[in-house]
Amino acid sequence: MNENEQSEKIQSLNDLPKKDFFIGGSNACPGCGALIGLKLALKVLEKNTIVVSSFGCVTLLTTYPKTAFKVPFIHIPSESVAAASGIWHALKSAGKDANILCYVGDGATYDSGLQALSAAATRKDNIIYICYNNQSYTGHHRSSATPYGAKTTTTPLGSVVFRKSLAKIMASHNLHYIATANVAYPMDFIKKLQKALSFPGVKFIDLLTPCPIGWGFDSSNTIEVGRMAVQTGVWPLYEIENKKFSLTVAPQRLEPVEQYFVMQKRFSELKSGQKERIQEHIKKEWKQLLHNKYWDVAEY
Amino acid sequence: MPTKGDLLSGSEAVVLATQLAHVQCAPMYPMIPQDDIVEHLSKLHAEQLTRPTKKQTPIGFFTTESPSAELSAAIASAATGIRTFTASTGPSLEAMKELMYVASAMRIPLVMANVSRSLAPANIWNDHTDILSCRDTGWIIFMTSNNQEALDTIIQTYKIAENHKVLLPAIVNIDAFFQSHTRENVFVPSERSIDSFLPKLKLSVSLDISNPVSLNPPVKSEYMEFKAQQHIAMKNAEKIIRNIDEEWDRKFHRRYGLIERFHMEDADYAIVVAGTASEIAKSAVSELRSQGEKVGLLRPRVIRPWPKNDIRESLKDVKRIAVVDQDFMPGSGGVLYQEVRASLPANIFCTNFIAGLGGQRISKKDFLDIYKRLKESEKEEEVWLL
Repeated sequence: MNENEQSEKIQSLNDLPKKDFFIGGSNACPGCGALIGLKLALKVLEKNTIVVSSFGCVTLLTTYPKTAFKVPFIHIPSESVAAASGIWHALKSAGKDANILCYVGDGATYDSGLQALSAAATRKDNIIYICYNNQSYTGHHRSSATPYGAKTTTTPLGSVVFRKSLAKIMASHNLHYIATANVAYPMDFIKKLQKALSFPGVKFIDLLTPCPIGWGFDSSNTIEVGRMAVQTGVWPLYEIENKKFSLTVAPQRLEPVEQYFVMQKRFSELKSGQKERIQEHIKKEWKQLLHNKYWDVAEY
Repeated sequence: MPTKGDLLSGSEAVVLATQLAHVQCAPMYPMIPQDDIVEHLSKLHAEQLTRPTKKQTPIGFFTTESPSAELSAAIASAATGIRTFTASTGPSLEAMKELMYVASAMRIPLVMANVSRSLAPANIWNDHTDILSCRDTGWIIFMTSNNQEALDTIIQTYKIAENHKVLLPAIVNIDAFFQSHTRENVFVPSERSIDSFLPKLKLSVSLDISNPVSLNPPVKSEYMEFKAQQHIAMKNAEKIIRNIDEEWDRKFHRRYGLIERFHMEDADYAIVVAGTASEIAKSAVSELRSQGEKVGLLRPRVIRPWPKNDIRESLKDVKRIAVVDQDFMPGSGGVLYQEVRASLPANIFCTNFIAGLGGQRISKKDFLDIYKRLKESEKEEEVWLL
């Protein structure tokens, strides 16, 4: 962990190291939010890091024989966090140390890898887990992170179920550090990642990474869409540090959620009744979050 | 050479072998009957924690929540260049199959013990359908017949799998209960003799901070090339297995070969059977030999790479063959039967006996009956010993 004491000094984007550990020229789509998150995370974690990912967008960024990773990377289908546990136990056994970063999509976090994530969290394996959450699988199929009403390739009329709160599930594992983050708020994300590094066990960050193709917006608008998710209260930014909940970005007044919907084609099937239902819920949730009543919040 | 062995169960022999091989990481998902191995490892781990010594190699034992997580962890652990061991059984083996293909495609030298167990309907007893259904996964597969062989094979297999001309994962199979929970006399080699036999693991490509590589990336047009290389590695493995077996013989005065032959020299009739049942078959063959019957036994020890030439050479002058399968593919037949059949000229008389599924005991009398039926039947057939 001493490796990271230096990087805790990153107080503004100007302090970020010039060196990239995920370089340009990968297979990423233009405007990919997950790519921004990965680049930032590796700027914070730097050289002494092993990256683990499941099959998904990030794994597809490297295609044999090319790779954009300048740190060791391994892809294991679905239960990549179990692979991260394997690496941690192996290195511990050999008396070595490294940051082990699980950078895994929402499909393999909320769904196919959840059991393995829960087990690693219970075992307190030393892993930094960032879920790059583009709210769908790589083929833009509905995952358990897909919001109510969003169109995906498996929900052409819009999802009829609400997403689950993974942060709450993780909180019930008594982790030292849990946070939500958003690539449109890079310093908030970087500060959280730096803070996470000071704790043992699994550190969990749910990072919203807007996806131009899956969500249906222009690839130049990734940051705007991300910002609007926070400003409308759709994706509140908070952390749970040693069981203490706090909002890290608190807009004075929430924008109407309609402003978030109109930016993306995936909400084009939403009926007005559904919109009101979502807006009502956001209001209720926001009020409770402001009063630190995190556990009282019923997700959607 | 030691004159007196230790009484060890199959599980104990396997765990002892991993200690002699200085395994440093062992992710485990316990499932009966392989849980015996896991329990022995957890005891060792607890001893290391309560009474640490400077000399000990940390065994890196931990349990996972699912078989696929177990193998995911084992693959990644071995990818760091640290010697890794894991264990599986029937349903657990089937649940981790996707990862088995990943391990062999990644060319991870990992050793797994499998305690062969039946699949469904629910049954925990011995059955070879699990291990033989792994024949296409790209893993080296050994099927042992006693606990001495299990201990020896685990250690040998690390040297085989880690050979740079091979670099493949390997399974060493022991039979549920007949082997895993049955004690036998086992000669345990000294730690020093194993240290001089098995060098430290050195991978040229691994998850190493000072030499970063990307492992298991998606592959497009090179896919067939990768598969061809796995096949070449398997062919190399056949030679390496032979060499290492000879080396083991020079050092420890025991050798196994890719197949075991018993009274095959002048045999007119051959019984082909794998695993512990072969030991019972041997007593039947001995009895028949004492009555002047020209019968022999062939036990495939290595299933992958399939020792086609050894099998053909051993069986080419035989009049009739009985392949006894303790495994079954509904709609097709026995796995071993098909493998043996495909290794032989079409005109050889070869009958398939299905026996011992779901832990059904195969007795000496069963083998005597098999011989009688083989000798007397008018045509090739599929016979079920119910």
